[in-house]
Amino acid sequence: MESLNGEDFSAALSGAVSCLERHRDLINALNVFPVPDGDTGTNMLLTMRAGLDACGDPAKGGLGSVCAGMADGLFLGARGNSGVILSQFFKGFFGPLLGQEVCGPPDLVTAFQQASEAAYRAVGKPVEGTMLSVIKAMSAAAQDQNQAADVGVVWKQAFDRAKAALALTPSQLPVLAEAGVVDAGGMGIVAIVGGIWSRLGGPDLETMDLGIDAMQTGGPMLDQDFINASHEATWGYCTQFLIEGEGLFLDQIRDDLGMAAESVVVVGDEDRVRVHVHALDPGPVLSYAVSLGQMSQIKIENMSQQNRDWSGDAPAEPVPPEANPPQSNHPGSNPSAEITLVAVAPSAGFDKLFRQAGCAAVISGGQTMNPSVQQILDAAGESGGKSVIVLPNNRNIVASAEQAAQLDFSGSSSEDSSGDSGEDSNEDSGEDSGAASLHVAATVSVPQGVAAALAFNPQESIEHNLQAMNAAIRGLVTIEVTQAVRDSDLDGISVEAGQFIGLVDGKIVAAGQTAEAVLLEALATQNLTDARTVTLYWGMDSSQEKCDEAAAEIEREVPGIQVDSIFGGQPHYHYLASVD
Amino acid sequence: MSIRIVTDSSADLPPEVASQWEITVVPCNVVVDDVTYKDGVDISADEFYKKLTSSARPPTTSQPSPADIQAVYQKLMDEGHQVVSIHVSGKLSGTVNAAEQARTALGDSASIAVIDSQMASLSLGLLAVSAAKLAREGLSLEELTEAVHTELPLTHCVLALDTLEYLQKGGRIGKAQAFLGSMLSVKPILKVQDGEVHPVERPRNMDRAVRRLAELAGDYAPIRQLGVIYSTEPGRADTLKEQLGDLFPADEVITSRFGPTLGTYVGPKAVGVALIGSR
Repeated sequence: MESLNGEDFSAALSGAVSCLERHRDLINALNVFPVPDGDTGTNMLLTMRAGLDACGDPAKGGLGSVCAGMADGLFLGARGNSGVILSQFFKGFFGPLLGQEVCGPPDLVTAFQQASEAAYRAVGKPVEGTMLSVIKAMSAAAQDQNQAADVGVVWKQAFDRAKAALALTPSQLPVLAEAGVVDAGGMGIVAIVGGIWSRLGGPDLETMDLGIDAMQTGGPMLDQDFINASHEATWGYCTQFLIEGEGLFLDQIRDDLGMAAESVVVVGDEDRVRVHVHALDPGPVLSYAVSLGQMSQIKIENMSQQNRDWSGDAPAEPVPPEANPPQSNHPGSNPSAEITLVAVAPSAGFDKLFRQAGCAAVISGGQTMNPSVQQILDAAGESGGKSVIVLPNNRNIVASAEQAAQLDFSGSSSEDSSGDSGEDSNEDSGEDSGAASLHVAATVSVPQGVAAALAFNPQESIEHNLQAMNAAIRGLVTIEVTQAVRDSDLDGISVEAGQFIGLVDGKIVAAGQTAEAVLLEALATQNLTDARTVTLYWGMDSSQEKCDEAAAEIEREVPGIQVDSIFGGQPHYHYLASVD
Repeated sequence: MSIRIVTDSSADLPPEVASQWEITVVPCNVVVDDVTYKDGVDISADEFYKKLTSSARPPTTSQPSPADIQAVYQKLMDEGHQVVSIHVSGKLSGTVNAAEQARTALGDSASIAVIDSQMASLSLGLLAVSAAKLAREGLSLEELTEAVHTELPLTHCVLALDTLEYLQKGGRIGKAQAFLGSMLSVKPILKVQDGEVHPVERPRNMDRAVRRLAELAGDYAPIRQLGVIYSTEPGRADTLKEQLGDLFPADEVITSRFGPTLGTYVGPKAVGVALIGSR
């Protein structure tokens, strides 16, 4: 086709969403670290869905209206770093198309170029070998098609070059090569562009080659376990229990459970075995377990429900404050407060902790559930402050929080409020005096968030608070203990799936058979003295007793040191810890 | 006719500094296990902290009586002096009230100015020293009173406590109660502002707290008077003094101790910085 109209483009964008849906699990599994946090596919999919939902009506404003609505939806729906970059990519892309009924190949060339520039601007320190490289390659490909007569050809070229650029990412970024994966965000871009092309003359999604096979044969290998892992059912029931019996045979149990469930983790010894599985139906799993011995500590959670809860189109529903409703003497809970604090918390335990520390609103989210820009804005509004400081508490949520900070709480972009000029659009000139403002203290871990919250003082200025929070974060070390979701060999530590791994500020330093041993090993890398404070937050897969034992062990090793054992209740991480 | 400065023992002025500047310190009263002591007269800081941690009931404090203060004023007037009497915040103690009563009792002819410092501890002490210096420069009672009032908003006191327990038991926790009730162990940093105790932040250990005290003091630079103060751990005060080295010459820093009156509220292991700054 010679030109692209709003209707076709709208259909093409829904093709992009379909393609992401198909490959979401694979993209999620393209994860450098063997930790259970791969959710790039989910983030990109949910971001794109939010964009598509806000897509304007092509019958009314043509292509331009489709683009304007989509840009707003993407901006507010952005989740995770990849979602934020994606939203900025499209914001740049749609720029030259706004106000147009249709566009031709030269417009697309400009669009790809501006999209690339916008994506690079969205990242503080652009790194090659990421989705940025894929985006740049598409822009170059489009340039070469300046004389093309068919818009489909431009998309095809962009798609082909994106695939080629994706295959190169491991050679650009050593950490990808080490993990044997291509960049997940780049894969997402390939899926999106492929999905668009499929509706603009390309092959349908079933037969479209996204280059996954090429990845297996050329360059870095994706091993079979990895491919298998990526095909796992994502949702169902997370089922955990302890079996006590005699002569329990771990390998046998693992194999048997593997027939009925996914994500099987079986640890323990002949007498006690702890099991964690994801099953569409937990019934057979429980029956099997009962045949082996006594069951206890049974915990079943509906992951599909969890997923709906946080990915739904509805605005974020902050976790209820549970047993500890905010009291008037807590800083920040004053409804007419000048400055309020909002935190992202991965569990009810941390929700309570953050509220006690002075947060007026808490957003449910974390490692595997990145809140959207809109959810952050809603919580900021709920907090009642004139100025709000957000603690993202995760490396992958900082970008969405910073994107939210570009808006006022009404949810309309402060830089381009051209779309829907409301009654208050020309209210104030220059500085938005008295308008609600959002600020981000860029906490990249939950323990950092706790330290920042403890530095919060609603009576002081925003600047003072941000400074105090940065001072509190500086020098704080975050330790995470989780179970490897696959084999890996990173940072000189070789890890088997199911083993416990310990990370210090995101770097793997220890692997072992028990969470506690790994925790202590990770802590041992720090210079612990009696002047320091260790805080252990035990997760839903650990227990108070085990945590207290670990704390006692640290106190034996370092007499005089302060160790706090706190219930965090976080998923995936048996322990989070900090050293102050 | 010269002016003499009077303050109370909650100023935590080291005796040698008080005598160097001819400042009269009226002792407050501390009641430990039903025995009343005059702060700095009948009981030393060491004795007090020993009793504080072992006594069955939390100690209490009471202001000096108007008669005690009146006697001090009378003596100074008899020696031919005018008096500027600067005291602990009226929101924390009734001392400034008692001083006002003593002044009134002496009649209109008495040349006495009573000032509510809005402060406590060594920051009150620094105000007294600063006033004494100005008195030696020959300022009139009126000029001196005005000069002290000008310094009040520039005077600051920031403390790190080992625990809020004593402040709470002593009923002086004020706005710092926002810092109660966390599951995490913290070393709360508080400040005295507008005559009351305010929460500042909650570092997790004393090392970090001391570093923060130094950083927070830097916010008021350039600093004209500086003091560090501790209850039971002089090493903490030394560390703090070192970290404040860039802000103020170390040999001019006044090092002092929370006496029994303040110790009742700050408890053991507390450390703080008092200063007169530029804002």
